[in-house]
Amino acid sequence: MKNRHPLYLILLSVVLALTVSGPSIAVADPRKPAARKSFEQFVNVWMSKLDRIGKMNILGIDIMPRDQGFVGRYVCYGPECKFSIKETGSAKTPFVGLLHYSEKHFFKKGETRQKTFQSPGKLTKTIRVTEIFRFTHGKWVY
Amino acid sequence: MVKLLRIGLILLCVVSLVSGCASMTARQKGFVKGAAIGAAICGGTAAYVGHQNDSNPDKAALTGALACGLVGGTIGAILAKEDVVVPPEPVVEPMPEPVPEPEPEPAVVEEVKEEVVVPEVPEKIVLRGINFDFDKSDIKPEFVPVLDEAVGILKKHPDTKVIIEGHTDWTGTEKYNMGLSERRATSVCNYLVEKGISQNSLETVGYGEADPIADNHTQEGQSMNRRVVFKILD
Repeated sequence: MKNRHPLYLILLSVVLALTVSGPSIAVADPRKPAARKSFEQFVNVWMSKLDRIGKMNILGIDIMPRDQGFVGRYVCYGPECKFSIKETGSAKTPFVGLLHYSEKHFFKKGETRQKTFQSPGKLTKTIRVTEIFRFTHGKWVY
Repeated sequence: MVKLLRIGLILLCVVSLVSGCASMTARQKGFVKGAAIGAAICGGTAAYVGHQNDSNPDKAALTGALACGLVGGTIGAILAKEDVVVPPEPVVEPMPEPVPEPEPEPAVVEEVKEEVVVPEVPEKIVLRGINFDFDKSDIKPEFVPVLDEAVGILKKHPDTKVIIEGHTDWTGTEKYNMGLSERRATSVCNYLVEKGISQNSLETVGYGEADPIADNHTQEGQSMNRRVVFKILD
């Protein structure tokens, strides 16, 4: 062994050095792109549901007599929105999805029920909404 | 030479173990890495030179490894950057273009101003998927990331009042649902307090099935109606 060329020691040193000094950057969860894509689809469906609810609210507005006329209120959602997903480090729920949109409160007023129903709704209040969903067992849960 | 190999193997093991230690600081890791690299390179080179010169290669390797290990470790510690945690990149994607609000008619706007009597709620957080088991209100592990995300948002509003609302669908009696929604709101409230949100800033309300946002006649609507809502009052 003494007669062997010690070049292998230098090679061993280089390998050791490369091993130790390798990059130590946290690697993103490889499932994230698929989860993000599925959340995008989920958000589209969810916002469609909210849009439908808003339209139902307009059609089903509860008009009440007030003073000399009638008034009614309803709520609509979106349609503009933003979304994002985050890694959680949880085994059961590896991602949460955040959906941001506006909840818009409208008011109607008229001399008769019919005129109130037909009058354009006026925005009285806007609330910023953040919905948080969880990605569990490969699907977005709500 | 056998001694040298033993030293090399011990060094390899120590470095492998130590470099995997998550609790070390960046500087400590830098020292270990620098020391290992210096010791390995200088030890190997010194052994080679010692061998060529017919001197004692083991002794030369040990001396070189120790000296360069110390120097390398110091340099490594100096050059080491602080721990960098790469945060998960939030993916924010714009959805279809915002639809402009219809132009308000001046005459009605004046009337609207009179109608605004409820306090302004600038922000609302809706927690989804907090689907407690039947007649239960304990926090399940899969809910925790959702709650933790909400805690993070609430901590950005340290001086604000937060109302925690529990909502159910209309399955079951009205009285039962009222109690259930109150227990769930309280359960979530307790979790927030555990996570450092001031109890004085929290208030719980159970609405039961009284405030649906969707049609309770369908399962889809019922799912949308089951929710926990945080109203953040500035």
